Amino acid sequence: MLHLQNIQKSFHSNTLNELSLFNNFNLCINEGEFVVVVGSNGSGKSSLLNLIDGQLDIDDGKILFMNQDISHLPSFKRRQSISRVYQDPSLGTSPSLTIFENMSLALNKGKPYNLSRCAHVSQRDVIKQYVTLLNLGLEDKLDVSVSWLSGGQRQALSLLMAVCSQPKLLLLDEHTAALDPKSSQHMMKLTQKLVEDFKMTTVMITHQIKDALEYGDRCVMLHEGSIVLDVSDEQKHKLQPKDLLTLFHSLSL
Amino acid sequence: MNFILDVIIQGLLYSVLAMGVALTFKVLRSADLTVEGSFPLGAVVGAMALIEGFPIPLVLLLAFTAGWLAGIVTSWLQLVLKIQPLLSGILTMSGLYTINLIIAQNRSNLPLFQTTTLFTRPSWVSIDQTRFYHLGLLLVIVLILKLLIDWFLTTKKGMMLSVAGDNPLLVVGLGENLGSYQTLGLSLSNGIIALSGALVVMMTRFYDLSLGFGMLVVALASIVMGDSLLKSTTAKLTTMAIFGSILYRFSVASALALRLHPSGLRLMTVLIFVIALVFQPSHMQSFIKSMKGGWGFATSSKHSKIISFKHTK
Repeated sequence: MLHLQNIQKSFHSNTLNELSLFNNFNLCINEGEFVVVVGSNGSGKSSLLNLIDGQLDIDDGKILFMNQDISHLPSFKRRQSISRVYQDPSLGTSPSLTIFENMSLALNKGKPYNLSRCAHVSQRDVIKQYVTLLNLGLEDKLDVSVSWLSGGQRQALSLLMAVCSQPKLLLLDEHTAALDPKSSQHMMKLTQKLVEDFKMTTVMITHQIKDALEYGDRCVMLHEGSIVLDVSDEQKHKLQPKDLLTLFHSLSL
Repeated sequence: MNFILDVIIQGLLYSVLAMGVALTFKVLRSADLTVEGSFPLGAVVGAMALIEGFPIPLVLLLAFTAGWLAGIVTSWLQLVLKIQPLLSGILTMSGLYTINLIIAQNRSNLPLFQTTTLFTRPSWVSIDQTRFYHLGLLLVIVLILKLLIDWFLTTKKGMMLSVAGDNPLLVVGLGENLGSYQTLGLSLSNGIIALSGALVVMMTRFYDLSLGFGMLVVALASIVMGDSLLKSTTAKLTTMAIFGSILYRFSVASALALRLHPSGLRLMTVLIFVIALVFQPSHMQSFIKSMKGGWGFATSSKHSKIISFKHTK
Protein backbone atom coordinates (compact mmCIF):
# COMPACT_ATOMS: atom_id res chain seq x y z
CA MET A 1 0.00 0.00 0.00
CA LEU A 2 2.97 2.30 0.58
CA HIS A 3 5.87 2.25 -1.88
CA LEU A 4 8.91 4.47 -1.53
CA GLN A 5 10.78 4.24 -4.80
CA ASN A 6 14.34 5.48 -5.43
CA ILE A 7 14.07 8.18 -2.81
CA GLN A 8 16.77 10.84 -2.77
CA LYS A 9 17.03 13.23 0.11
CA SER A 10 19.87 15.46 1.20
CA PHE A 11 20.03 18.16 3.82
CA HIS A 12 21.88 21.49 3.67
CA SER A 13 22.23 21.11 -0.09
CA ASN A 14 24.92 23.13 -1.84
CA THR A 15 26.81 23.87 1.37
CA LEU A 16 29.94 22.37 2.85
CA ASN A 17 27.76 20.52 5.35
CA GLU A 18 25.75 18.77 2.68
CA LEU A 19 24.44 15.49 4.05
CA SER A 20 22.99 13.01 1.66
CA LEU A 21 20.80 10.85 3.89
CA PHE A 22 18.74 8.75 1.50
CA ASN A 23 20.35 7.52 -1.70
CA ASN A 24 18.18 5.41 -3.92
CA PHE A 25 16.13 4.33 -0.91
CA ASN A 26 13.39 1.76 -1.45
CA LEU A 27 10.79 0.49 0.98
CA CYS A 28 7.51 -1.29 0.42
CA ILE A 29 4.92 -1.66 3.17
CA ASN A 30 1.98 -3.99 2.68
CA GLU A 31 -1.57 -3.51 3.80
CA GLY A 32 -2.09 -4.51 7.43
CA GLU A 33 1.59 -4.73 8.33
CA PHE A 34 2.90 -3.50 11.69
CA VAL A 35 6.45 -2.41 10.93
CA VAL A 36 8.86 -1.57 13.73
CA VAL A 37 11.76 0.68 12.71
CA VAL A 38 14.92 0.75 14.81
CA GLY A 39 18.27 2.47 14.33
CA SER A 40 20.71 4.80 16.00
CA ASN A 41 20.31 8.55 16.19
CA GLY A 42 20.74 10.14 12.78
CA SER A 43 19.99 6.92 10.96
CA GLY A 44 17.03 8.56 9.23
CA LYS A 45 14.09 7.05 11.14
CA SER A 46 12.29 10.30 11.85
CA SER A 47 13.20 11.69 8.43
CA LEU A 48 11.58 8.63 6.92
CA LEU A 49 8.29 9.42 8.64
CA ASN A 50 8.66 13.09 7.69
CA LEU A 51 9.05 12.11 4.05
CA ILE A 52 6.01 9.85 4.20
CA ASP A 53 3.66 12.39 5.80
CA GLY A 54 5.01 15.35 3.84
CA GLN A 55 6.73 17.33 6.59
CA LEU A 56 9.80 16.99 4.37
CA ASP A 57 9.84 17.02 0.58
CA ILE A 58 11.75 14.40 -1.32
CA ASP A 59 14.46 15.60 -3.71
CA ASP A 60 13.85 12.82 -6.18
CA GLY A 61 11.98 9.54 -6.42
CA LYS A 62 8.38 8.59 -5.94
CA ILE A 63 6.03 7.87 -3.05
CA LEU A 64 3.01 5.76 -3.91
CA PHE A 65 0.25 5.47 -1.31
CA MET A 66 -2.89 3.43 -2.03
CA ASN A 67 -1.82 3.39 -5.71
CA GLN A 68 -1.67 7.16 -5.79
CA ASP A 69 1.39 9.29 -6.36
CA ILE A 70 1.59 11.49 -3.26
CA SER A 71 5.21 12.62 -3.78
CA HIS A 72 4.31 16.27 -4.01
CA LEU A 73 1.00 16.41 -2.17
CA PRO A 74 1.02 19.00 0.66
CA SER A 75 1.31 17.57 4.15
CA PHE A 76 -2.21 18.38 5.31
CA LYS A 77 -3.75 16.52 2.35
CA ARG A 78 -1.67 13.42 3.04
CA ARG A 79 -2.64 13.60 6.69
CA GLN A 80 -6.31 13.15 5.80
CA SER A 81 -5.61 9.43 5.57
CA ILE A 82 -2.37 9.23 7.56
CA SER A 83 -2.20 9.76 11.34
CA ARG A 84 0.89 10.34 13.39
CA VAL A 85 1.69 10.31 17.09
CA TYR A 86 4.77 12.25 18.15
CA GLN A 87 7.23 11.70 20.95
CA ASP A 88 6.08 14.89 22.70
CA PRO A 89 2.68 14.25 24.36
CA SER A 90 1.65 17.89 23.94
CA LEU A 91 1.73 17.71 20.14
CA GLY A 92 -1.20 15.38 19.66
CA THR A 93 -3.97 17.22 21.47
CA SER A 94 -5.36 20.72 21.83
CA PRO A 95 -4.69 21.54 25.51
CA SER A 96 -7.27 24.29 26.05
CA LEU A 97 -10.14 22.18 24.70
CA THR A 98 -11.81 19.39 26.68
CA ILE A 99 -11.33 15.67 26.06
CA PHE A 100 -14.81 15.60 24.55
CA GLU A 101 -14.06 18.45 22.14
CA ASN A 102 -10.71 16.97 21.16
CA MET A 103 -12.28 13.60 20.42
CA SER A 104 -15.13 15.16 18.50
CA LEU A 105 -12.67 17.00 16.24
CA ALA A 106 -10.58 13.86 15.77
CA LEU A 107 -13.63 11.78 14.79
CA ASN A 108 -14.40 14.33 12.08
CA LYS A 109 -11.02 13.84 10.41
CA GLY A 110 -11.35 13.29 6.67
CA LYS A 111 -14.74 15.03 6.63
CA PRO A 112 -15.26 18.78 6.16
CA TYR A 113 -14.95 21.04 9.20
CA ASN A 114 -18.00 23.19 8.48
CA LEU A 115 -20.38 25.34 10.48
CA SER A 116 -22.22 22.45 12.09
CA ARG A 117 -21.87 22.09 15.81
CA CYS A 118 -18.75 20.45 17.16
CA ALA A 119 -18.89 18.27 20.28
CA HIS A 120 -22.64 17.78 20.00
CA VAL A 121 -24.40 16.02 22.89
CA SER A 122 -25.45 13.23 20.55
CA GLN A 123 -21.79 12.19 20.20
CA ARG A 124 -21.33 11.77 23.92
CA ASP A 125 -22.06 8.06 24.16
CA VAL A 126 -19.89 7.18 21.19
CA ILE A 127 -16.99 9.22 22.50
CA LYS A 128 -17.40 7.76 25.97
CA GLN A 129 -17.07 4.29 24.48
CA TYR A 130 -13.93 5.26 22.64
CA VAL A 131 -12.32 6.83 25.70
CA THR A 132 -13.19 3.74 27.77
CA LEU A 133 -10.85 1.80 25.47
CA LEU A 134 -7.94 3.67 27.07
CA ASN A 135 -8.67 2.07 30.44
CA LEU A 136 -7.47 5.17 32.28
CA GLY A 137 -10.77 6.31 33.78
CA LEU A 138 -10.84 9.32 31.46
CA GLU A 139 -14.41 8.52 30.41
CA ASP A 140 -15.56 10.23 33.61
CA LYS A 141 -13.51 13.34 32.84
CA LEU A 142 -14.83 14.11 29.36
CA ASP A 143 -15.38 17.79 30.15
CA VAL A 144 -11.95 18.32 31.70
CA SER A 145 -9.53 20.48 29.75
CA VAL A 146 -6.68 18.42 28.32
CA SER A 147 -4.14 20.80 29.88
CA TRP A 148 -4.91 19.17 33.24
CA LEU A 149 -3.98 15.67 32.08
CA SER A 150 -0.62 14.01 32.77
CA GLY A 151 1.81 13.27 29.95
CA GLY A 152 0.85 9.60 29.91
CA GLN A 153 -2.88 10.38 29.76
CA ARG A 154 -2.33 12.95 27.03
CA GLN A 155 -0.28 10.58 24.95
CA ALA A 156 -2.92 7.86 25.30
CA LEU A 157 -5.54 10.38 24.16
CA SER A 158 -3.29 11.46 21.27
CA LEU A 159 -3.09 7.85 20.14
CA LEU A 160 -6.84 7.40 20.39
CA MET A 161 -7.39 10.64 18.46
CA ALA A 162 -4.99 9.44 15.80
CA VAL A 163 -6.70 6.10 15.30
CA CYS A 164 -10.41 6.80 15.91
CA SER A 165 -11.02 8.14 12.41
CA GLN A 166 -9.56 4.87 11.06
CA PRO A 167 -6.80 6.31 8.90
CA LYS A 168 -5.18 4.06 6.31
CA LEU A 169 -1.74 4.44 7.86
CA LEU A 170 -0.56 5.10 11.40
CA LEU A 171 2.89 6.54 12.07
CA LEU A 172 4.27 6.26 15.61
CA ASP A 173 7.33 8.39 16.19
CA GLU A 174 8.89 7.05 19.43
CA HIS A 175 5.52 7.69 21.02
CA THR A 176 6.44 6.06 24.34
CA ALA A 177 9.89 7.64 24.75
CA ALA A 178 8.74 10.53 26.96
CA LEU A 179 6.78 8.34 29.36
CA ASP A 180 7.79 6.58 32.56
CA PRO A 181 8.35 2.79 32.32
CA LYS A 182 4.87 1.90 33.59
CA SER A 183 2.98 4.35 31.36
CA SER A 184 5.23 3.34 28.51
CA GLN A 185 4.28 -0.30 28.96
CA HIS A 186 0.59 0.53 29.22
CA MET A 187 0.94 2.64 26.09
CA MET A 188 2.49 -0.20 24.09
CA LYS A 189 -0.23 -2.64 25.16
CA LEU A 190 -2.80 -0.03 24.20
CA THR A 191 -1.12 0.54 20.86
CA GLN A 192 -1.23 -3.13 20.03
CA LYS A 193 -4.87 -3.39 21.04
CA LEU A 194 -5.95 -0.33 19.05
CA VAL A 195 -3.94 -1.30 15.98
CA GLU A 196 -5.59 -4.73 16.05
CA ASP A 197 -9.08 -3.34 16.77
CA PHE A 198 -8.91 -0.80 13.97
CA LYS A 199 -6.85 -3.03 11.63
CA MET A 200 -4.39 -0.35 10.66
CA THR A 201 -1.17 -0.48 8.74
CA THR A 202 1.39 0.86 11.20
CA VAL A 203 4.97 2.10 11.14
CA MET A 204 6.48 2.48 14.60
CA ILE A 205 9.85 3.92 15.51
CA THR A 206 11.32 2.83 18.81
CA HIS A 207 14.58 2.81 20.71
CA GLN A 208 13.39 0.02 23.00
CA ILE A 209 14.91 -3.21 21.73
CA LYS A 210 12.43 -5.12 23.88
CA ASP A 211 9.44 -3.42 22.28
CA ALA A 212 10.92 -3.87 18.82
CA LEU A 213 11.03 -7.62 19.32
CA GLU A 214 7.77 -7.98 21.23
CA TYR A 215 5.50 -5.97 18.97
CA GLY A 216 4.82 -5.85 15.25
CA ASP A 217 5.22 -8.40 12.52
CA ARG A 218 8.16 -6.87 10.69
CA CYS A 219 11.35 -5.26 11.94
CA VAL A 220 13.47 -2.87 9.88
CA MET A 221 16.81 -1.50 11.02
CA LEU A 222 18.10 1.68 9.46
CA HIS A 223 21.70 2.86 9.36
CA GLU A 224 22.80 6.05 7.66
CA GLY A 225 19.79 6.08 5.41
CA SER A 226 19.81 2.49 4.28
CA ILE A 227 18.10 -0.67 5.44
CA VAL A 228 20.54 -3.04 7.11
CA LEU A 229 18.00 -5.50 8.44
CA ASP A 230 14.50 -6.38 7.30
CA VAL A 231 12.86 -9.42 8.84
CA SER A 232 9.24 -10.40 9.12
CA ASP A 233 6.93 -12.95 10.72
CA GLU A 234 8.67 -16.13 11.89
CA GLN A 235 12.13 -14.82 11.26
CA LYS A 236 11.32 -11.80 13.40
CA HIS A 237 10.00 -13.96 16.22
CA LYS A 238 13.27 -15.87 16.28
CA LEU A 239 15.22 -12.64 16.66
CA GLN A 240 16.96 -12.26 20.04
CA PRO A 241 17.86 -9.02 21.79
CA LYS A 242 21.55 -9.88 21.52
CA ASP A 243 21.26 -10.29 17.73
CA LEU A 244 19.99 -6.74 17.40
CA LEU A 245 22.53 -5.39 19.85
CA THR A 246 25.41 -7.10 18.06
CA LEU A 247 24.25 -5.62 14.79
CA PHE A 248 23.92 -2.23 16.45
CA HIS A 249 27.45 -2.29 17.81
CA SER A 250 29.03 -3.60 14.63
CA LEU A 251 27.46 -0.71 12.71
CA SER A 252 28.41 2.06 15.06
CA LEU A 253 32.08 1.06 15.07
CA MET B 1 -25.60 58.18 37.63
CA ASN B 2 -24.73 59.76 34.31
CA PHE B 3 -21.10 58.97 35.02
CA ILE B 4 -21.86 55.25 35.35
CA LEU B 5 -24.10 55.29 32.25
CA ASP B 6 -21.42 57.00 30.19
CA VAL B 7 -18.82 54.49 31.35
CA ILE B 8 -21.05 51.56 30.37
CA ILE B 9 -21.88 53.13 27.00
CA GLN B 10 -18.21 53.73 26.23
CA GLY B 11 -17.33 50.26 27.50
CA LEU B 12 -19.93 48.59 25.29
CA LEU B 13 -18.93 50.70 22.31
CA TYR B 14 -15.30 49.61 22.57
CA SER B 15 -16.13 46.03 23.60
CA VAL B 16 -16.70 45.27 19.92
CA LEU B 17 -13.04 46.20 19.37
CA ALA B 18 -11.98 44.04 22.32
CA MET B 19 -13.93 41.04 21.00
CA GLY B 20 -12.30 41.44 17.59
CA VAL B 21 -8.81 41.66 19.05
CA ALA B 22 -9.55 38.72 21.38
CA LEU B 23 -10.06 36.53 18.31
CA THR B 24 -6.42 36.93 17.32
CA PHE B 25 -4.89 37.48 20.77
CA LYS B 26 -6.75 34.74 22.64
CA VAL B 27 -7.94 32.32 19.98
CA LEU B 28 -5.12 32.48 17.42
CA ARG B 29 -2.65 33.49 20.16
CA SER B 30 -0.78 36.08 18.18
CA ALA B 31 -0.64 39.84 18.61
CA ASP B 32 -1.91 41.32 15.36
CA LEU B 33 -0.90 44.94 14.87
CA THR B 34 -3.19 45.38 11.85
CA VAL B 35 -5.71 46.65 14.43
CA GLU B 36 -4.27 50.15 14.48
CA GLY B 37 -4.92 50.41 10.74
CA SER B 38 -8.13 48.42 10.40
CA PHE B 39 -9.91 50.30 13.20
CA PRO B 40 -9.61 53.74 11.47
CA LEU B 41 -10.21 51.95 8.14
CA GLY B 42 -13.63 50.85 9.39
CA ALA B 43 -14.17 54.35 10.74
CA VAL B 44 -13.32 56.11 7.48
CA VAL B 45 -15.27 53.66 5.32
CA GLY B 46 -18.22 54.12 7.68
CA ALA B 47 -17.89 57.90 7.66
CA MET B 48 -17.67 58.14 3.87
CA ALA B 49 -20.59 55.75 3.41
CA LEU B 50 -22.67 57.85 5.83
CA ILE B 51 -21.78 61.03 3.96
CA GLU B 52 -22.84 59.31 0.74
CA GLY B 53 -26.14 58.60 2.45
CA PHE B 54 -25.99 54.80 2.40
CA PRO B 55 -28.41 52.92 4.69
CA ILE B 56 -26.95 51.99 8.09
CA PRO B 57 -26.83 48.18 7.57
CA LEU B 58 -24.91 48.70 4.33
CA VAL B 59 -22.53 51.11 6.09
CA LEU B 60 -21.76 48.48 8.72
CA LEU B 61 -21.37 45.77 6.10
CA LEU B 62 -18.94 47.89 4.07
CA ALA B 63 -16.84 48.63 7.15
CA PHE B 64 -16.76 44.93 8.07
CA THR B 65 -15.74 43.95 4.53
CA ALA B 66 -12.96 46.56 4.46
CA GLY B 67 -11.53 45.17 7.71
CA TRP B 68 -11.88 41.62 6.41
CA LEU B 69 -9.78 42.57 3.38
CA ALA B 70 -7.14 44.20 5.61
CA GLY B 71 -6.91 40.90 7.52
CA ILE B 72 -6.47 39.02 4.27
CA VAL B 73 -3.59 41.33 3.30
CA THR B 74 -1.84 40.67 6.62
CA SER B 75 -2.26 36.92 6.32
CA TRP B 76 -1.10 37.05 2.71
CA LEU B 77 2.09 38.82 3.81
CA GLN B 78 2.57 36.11 6.44
CA LEU B 79 1.71 33.01 4.48
CA VAL B 80 2.65 33.77 0.89
CA LEU B 81 5.57 36.14 1.35
CA LYS B 82 6.65 34.43 4.61
CA ILE B 83 7.06 37.68 6.55
CA GLN B 84 7.03 37.37 10.36
CA PRO B 85 3.52 37.73 11.84
CA LEU B 86 4.36 40.80 13.94
CA LEU B 87 6.05 42.55 11.03
CA SER B 88 3.19 41.69 8.64
CA GLY B 89 0.77 43.45 10.96
CA ILE B 90 3.00 46.52 11.19
CA LEU B 91 3.32 46.67 7.40
CA THR B 92 -0.44 46.48 6.81
CA MET B 93 -1.03 49.03 9.56
CA SER B 94 1.42 51.50 7.98
CA GLY B 95 0.06 50.91 4.51
CA LEU B 96 -3.50 51.49 5.70
CA TYR B 97 -2.53 54.98 6.85
CA THR B 98 -2.24 56.00 3.21
CA ILE B 99 -5.27 53.97 2.17
CA ASN B 100 -7.34 55.72 4.85
CA LEU B 101 -6.19 59.11 3.53
CA ILE B 102 -7.13 58.10 -0.02
CA ILE B 103 -10.59 56.89 1.06
CA ALA B 104 -11.18 60.21 2.89
CA GLN B 105 -10.02 62.02 -0.25
CA ASN B 106 -6.89 63.37 1.42
CA ARG B 107 -8.72 64.78 4.40
CA SER B 108 -7.39 63.81 7.79
CA ASN B 109 -10.71 64.33 9.51
CA LEU B 110 -14.38 64.19 8.62
CA PRO B 111 -17.07 65.81 10.78
CA LEU B 112 -20.41 64.01 10.68
CA PHE B 113 -22.48 66.43 12.75
CA GLN B 114 -25.08 66.94 10.03
CA THR B 115 -25.34 63.26 9.12
CA THR B 116 -27.90 60.80 10.42
CA THR B 117 -26.14 57.87 12.08
CA LEU B 118 -27.21 54.76 13.94
CA PHE B 119 -27.11 56.72 17.17
CA THR B 120 -29.07 59.75 16.00
CA ARG B 121 -31.92 60.22 18.44
CA PRO B 122 -35.30 59.49 16.81
CA SER B 123 -38.12 61.93 17.52
CA TRP B 124 -39.87 59.64 20.02
CA VAL B 125 -36.85 59.78 22.34
CA SER B 126 -36.51 62.91 24.43
CA ILE B 127 -33.12 64.55 24.99
CA ASP B 128 -33.04 63.34 28.59
CA GLN B 129 -33.46 59.78 27.42
CA THR B 130 -30.63 59.86 24.86
CA ARG B 131 -28.26 57.98 27.12
CA PHE B 132 -30.77 55.19 27.70
CA TYR B 133 -31.45 55.02 23.98
CA HIS B 134 -27.73 54.63 23.26
CA LEU B 135 -27.34 52.09 26.02
CA GLY B 136 -30.24 49.97 24.74
CA LEU B 137 -29.05 50.12 21.17
CA LEU B 138 -25.48 49.17 22.09
CA LEU B 139 -26.66 46.34 24.34
CA VAL B 140 -28.58 44.83 21.42
CA ILE B 141 -25.68 45.20 18.96
CA VAL B 142 -23.05 43.89 21.37
CA LEU B 143 -25.25 40.98 22.44
CA ILE B 144 -25.97 39.93 18.85
CA LEU B 145 -22.29 40.06 17.97
CA LYS B 146 -21.30 38.22 21.13
CA LEU B 147 -23.79 35.42 20.48
CA LEU B 148 -22.63 35.14 16.86
CA ILE B 149 -18.98 34.80 17.92
CA ASP B 150 -19.90 32.34 20.69
CA TRP B 151 -21.88 30.26 18.22
CA PHE B 152 -19.07 30.32 15.65
CA LEU B 153 -16.52 29.10 18.21
CA THR B 154 -18.65 26.02 18.95
CA THR B 155 -18.88 24.96 15.31
CA LYS B 156 -16.38 22.55 13.81
CA LYS B 157 -14.72 25.36 11.89
CA GLY B 158 -14.59 27.64 14.92
CA MET B 159 -13.24 24.89 17.14
CA MET B 160 -10.48 24.27 14.59
CA LEU B 161 -9.65 27.97 14.77
CA SER B 162 -9.01 27.47 18.51
CA VAL B 163 -6.83 24.48 17.69
CA ALA B 164 -4.85 26.60 15.22
CA GLY B 165 -3.87 28.86 18.12
CA ASP B 166 -3.52 26.05 20.63
CA ASN B 167 -1.55 23.46 18.67
CA PRO B 168 -0.98 24.35 15.00
CA LEU B 169 0.51 20.92 14.31
CA LEU B 170 -2.79 19.27 15.22
CA VAL B 171 -4.64 21.23 12.51
CA VAL B 172 -2.35 19.66 9.92
CA GLY B 173 -2.68 16.34 11.76
CA LEU B 174 -6.44 16.46 11.27
CA GLY B 175 -5.92 16.98 7.55
CA GLU B 176 -6.77 20.67 7.38
CA ASN B 177 -4.88 23.58 5.86
CA LEU B 178 -3.38 25.59 8.72
CA GLY B 179 -2.92 28.69 6.53
CA SER B 180 -6.62 28.92 5.71
CA TYR B 181 -7.46 28.99 9.42
CA GLN B 182 -4.90 31.71 10.10
CA THR B 183 -6.41 33.72 7.25
CA LEU B 184 -9.91 33.13 8.57
CA GLY B 185 -8.92 34.24 12.07
CA LEU B 186 -7.16 37.38 10.92
CA SER B 187 -9.88 38.46 8.51
CA LEU B 188 -12.72 37.77 10.92
CA SER B 189 -10.91 39.62 13.69
CA ASN B 190 -10.12 42.65 11.54
CA GLY B 191 -13.64 42.68 10.10
CA ILE B 192 -15.06 42.99 13.62
CA ILE B 193 -12.43 45.60 14.53
CA ALA B 194 -13.39 47.70 11.49
CA LEU B 195 -17.04 47.31 12.43
CA SER B 196 -16.13 48.70 15.82
CA GLY B 197 -14.39 51.64 14.11
CA ALA B 198 -17.58 52.40 12.18
CA LEU B 199 -19.67 52.22 15.38
CA VAL B 200 -17.30 54.56 17.20
CA VAL B 201 -17.36 57.12 14.41
CA MET B 202 -21.16 56.98 14.37
CA MET B 203 -21.26 57.65 18.08
CA THR B 204 -18.64 60.42 18.21
CA ARG B 205 -19.74 61.86 14.84
CA PHE B 206 -16.18 62.74 14.04
CA TYR B 207 -13.58 60.82 12.06
CA ASP B 208 -9.91 61.49 12.60
CA LEU B 209 -6.99 59.80 10.89
CA SER B 210 -5.24 59.16 14.21
CA LEU B 211 -8.26 57.32 15.62
CA GLY B 212 -6.49 53.96 15.67
CA PHE B 213 -3.44 55.16 17.52
CA GLY B 214 -2.90 53.07 20.66
CA MET B 215 -6.04 50.99 20.06
CA LEU B 216 -4.20 47.69 20.33
CA VAL B 217 -3.03 48.40 23.87
CA VAL B 218 -6.51 49.64 24.82
CA ALA B 219 -8.05 46.42 23.51
CA LEU B 220 -5.40 44.22 25.11
CA ALA B 221 -5.78 46.02 28.44
CA SER B 222 -9.54 45.38 28.28
CA ILE B 223 -9.07 41.71 27.44
CA VAL B 224 -6.52 41.12 30.18
CA MET B 225 -8.63 42.99 32.74
CA GLY B 226 -11.69 40.94 31.81
CA ASP B 227 -9.57 37.85 32.09
CA SER B 228 -8.41 38.72 35.60
CA LEU B 229 -11.92 39.71 36.64
CA LEU B 230 -13.63 36.53 35.45
CA LYS B 231 -10.73 34.11 35.72
CA SER B 232 -12.35 31.75 38.21
CA THR B 233 -15.65 31.58 36.37
CA THR B 234 -16.59 29.66 33.25
CA ALA B 235 -17.24 32.92 31.41
CA LYS B 236 -16.76 32.86 27.68
CA LEU B 237 -14.04 34.78 25.87
CA THR B 238 -16.54 37.35 24.58
CA THR B 239 -18.06 37.93 28.02
CA MET B 240 -14.58 38.59 29.40
CA ALA B 241 -13.88 41.06 26.60
CA ILE B 242 -17.15 42.96 27.24
CA PHE B 243 -16.72 43.19 31.01
CA GLY B 244 -13.03 43.98 30.60
CA SER B 245 -13.85 46.80 28.23
CA ILE B 246 -16.34 48.32 30.68
CA LEU B 247 -13.88 47.93 33.54
CA TYR B 248 -11.17 49.60 31.47
CA ARG B 249 -13.43 52.56 30.63
CA PHE B 250 -14.30 52.81 34.31
CA SER B 251 -10.61 53.02 35.25
CA VAL B 252 -10.00 55.68 32.61
CA ALA B 253 -13.05 57.73 33.61
CA SER B 254 -12.09 57.48 37.29
CA ALA B 255 -8.57 58.63 36.54
CA LEU B 256 -9.89 61.60 34.58
CA ALA B 257 -12.37 62.41 37.36
CA LEU B 258 -9.43 62.43 39.74
CA ARG B 259 -7.92 65.20 37.60
CA LEU B 260 -5.41 63.09 35.68
CA HIS B 261 -4.30 65.13 32.70
CA PRO B 262 -5.66 63.53 29.47
CA SER B 263 -2.13 63.40 28.05
CA GLY B 264 -1.26 60.89 30.77
CA LEU B 265 -3.90 58.41 29.59
CA ARG B 266 -1.67 56.38 27.31
CA LEU B 267 0.86 55.77 30.06
CA MET B 268 -1.94 54.88 32.42
CA THR B 269 -3.32 52.34 29.93
CA VAL B 270 0.07 50.67 29.73
CA LEU B 271 0.25 50.57 33.54
CA ILE B 272 -3.23 49.04 33.77
CA PHE B 273 -2.23 46.48 31.18
CA VAL B 274 0.94 45.50 33.03
CA ILE B 275 -0.81 45.35 36.41
CA ALA B 276 -3.68 43.27 35.08
CA LEU B 277 -1.26 40.91 33.35
CA VAL B 278 0.98 40.48 36.39
CA PHE B 279 -1.93 39.92 38.81
CA GLN B 280 -3.36 37.00 36.87
CA PRO B 281 -3.32 34.05 39.30
CA SER B 282 -1.27 31.75 37.06
CA HIS B 283 1.24 34.51 36.47
CA MET B 284 1.55 35.28 40.17
CA GLN B 285 2.36 31.69 41.06
CA SER B 286 5.24 31.43 38.65
CA PHE B 287 6.40 34.91 39.59
CA ILE B 288 6.60 33.96 43.27
CA LYS B 289 8.31 30.72 42.31
CA SER B 290 10.91 32.60 40.31
CA MET B 291 11.56 34.91 43.26
CA LYS B 292 12.17 31.93 45.52
CA GLY B 293 14.39 30.26 42.97
CA GLY B 294 16.68 33.22 42.54
CA TRP B 295 16.97 35.43 39.51
CA GLY B 296 15.34 33.30 36.88
CA PHE B 297 13.44 36.18 35.39
CA ALA B 298 14.08 35.62 31.73
CA THR B 299 12.91 32.04 31.71
CA SER B 300 10.19 32.45 34.29
CA SER B 301 8.44 35.33 32.61
CA LYS B 302 8.49 33.53 29.28
CA HIS B 303 7.12 30.43 30.93
CA SER B 304 4.37 32.19 32.80
CA LYS B 305 3.27 33.93 29.62
CA ILE B 306 2.71 30.58 28.00
CA ILE B 307 0.75 29.36 31.01
CA SER B 308 -1.43 32.41 31.22
CA PHE B 309 -2.35 32.07 27.57
CA LYS B 310 -2.93 28.38 27.73
CA HIS B 311 -5.33 28.12 30.62
CA THR B 312 -7.93 30.40 29.19
CA LYS B 313 -10.33 29.80 26.44
